[in-house]
Amino acid sequence: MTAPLVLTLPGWQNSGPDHWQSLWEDTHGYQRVEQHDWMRPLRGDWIARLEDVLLSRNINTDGPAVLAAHSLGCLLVAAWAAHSRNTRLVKGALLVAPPDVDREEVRQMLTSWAPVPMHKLPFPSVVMASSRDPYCRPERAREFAAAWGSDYIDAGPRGHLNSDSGLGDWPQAHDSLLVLMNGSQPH
Amino acid sequence: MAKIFCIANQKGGVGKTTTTVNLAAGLAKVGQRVLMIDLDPQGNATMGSGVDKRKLELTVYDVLLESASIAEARVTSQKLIDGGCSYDVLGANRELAGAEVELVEVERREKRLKLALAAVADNYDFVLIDCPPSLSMLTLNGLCCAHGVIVPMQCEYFALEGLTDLVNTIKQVHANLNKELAIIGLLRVMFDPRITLQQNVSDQLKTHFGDKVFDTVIPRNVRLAEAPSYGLPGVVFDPASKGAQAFVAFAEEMVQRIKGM
Repeated sequence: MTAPLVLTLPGWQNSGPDHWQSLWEDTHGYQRVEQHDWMRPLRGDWIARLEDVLLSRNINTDGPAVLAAHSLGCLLVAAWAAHSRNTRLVKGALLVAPPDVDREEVRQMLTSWAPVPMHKLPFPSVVMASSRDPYCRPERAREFAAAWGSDYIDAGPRGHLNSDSGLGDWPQAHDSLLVLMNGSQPH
Repeated sequence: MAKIFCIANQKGGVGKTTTTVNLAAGLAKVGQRVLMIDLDPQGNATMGSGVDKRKLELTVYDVLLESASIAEARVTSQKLIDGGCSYDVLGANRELAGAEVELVEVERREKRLKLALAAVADNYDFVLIDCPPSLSMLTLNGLCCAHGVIVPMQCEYFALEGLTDLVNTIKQVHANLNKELAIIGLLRVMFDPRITLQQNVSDQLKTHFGDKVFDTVIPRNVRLAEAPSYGLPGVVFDPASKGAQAFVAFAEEMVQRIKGM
């Protein structure tokens, strides 16, 4: 069996060329789930799009996908998994810097996303969070990880873990992704 | 208590949304209290009613997910008020596509709209629901709460294509989910009497379906086609046009029809 396909799920306003998601796509051929509207993200629209992309693949020949999500893309994974009947199409998920949309100032920007889904994910997952993220306190990120049944990795005081964080192609996160691709829960 | 109608046809591009917004405006023009519900994630009926789908804070999606009531989510358009044909709009945008995934495990998922409508049914004489062309959970929600279905049809060679599927769907919903549901009538739209084939098909429809075919015929009319780009129903955009006048006549025919219901 070939390596599972990795689908990258950017957050609000998409990921630019220097973002680790874009660099991984360039280097490893991972595929981005393109949303209809990156600037005004609608939860239902994004969920439907992820479902469509996963259903368009042939699981018998392609195998389940691994998701590499950043920011709002993490909440997309949690919201989709809480409802979809097709979660078997996903083998694992790397969830980087989930935002706390239950905070008033974030909720106002992303109206349709609150509350954060707190259901256990039906596949292995890892939450990587910064200890100094303007959109989510680390204690809250740990709560998300506990609710989702994810392993938790502290990525240090590095902002929102986006292109501004100077992560390059971020080998540390990619190692966690590789473990998920190999089919085991990292520790 | 409002009479609730779905405007549906499983064949796309037949003038379903044009019928919905113009019938809504026509009914408002003849003094009826109207709620228009857009159940299509494309949101064309929303935009065609003078409501910007990109600026909506709450939509029919929130109602289906039970995070808002219809009273909270409905809006009115200043353009419609200015045009003297104001009706309430429960709008839609792409967000609504997610309801197909999010409602899949929910109990009584096909009755969410019916339950929500019960709270506001006394506020209206008519509720018109613009259904998507596919048979989906959204269409099913529309059919479950409706008293009847209005089917817009073009008088073309393949006019009956799709009607068989729709009739079968309506029979199933009638048998299992909504005993009140019936086809109210077929509405001939985009009609051009100069085209012999259209006249022939129109005659055949009358022969086969009798009084299930509405007397009013909506002519092909460029002003009806232009109106959506101005975010207005044709009835408001150009009230003097033949298309607008036909829809007002259709509204009057509908008012007469529901007296017998």
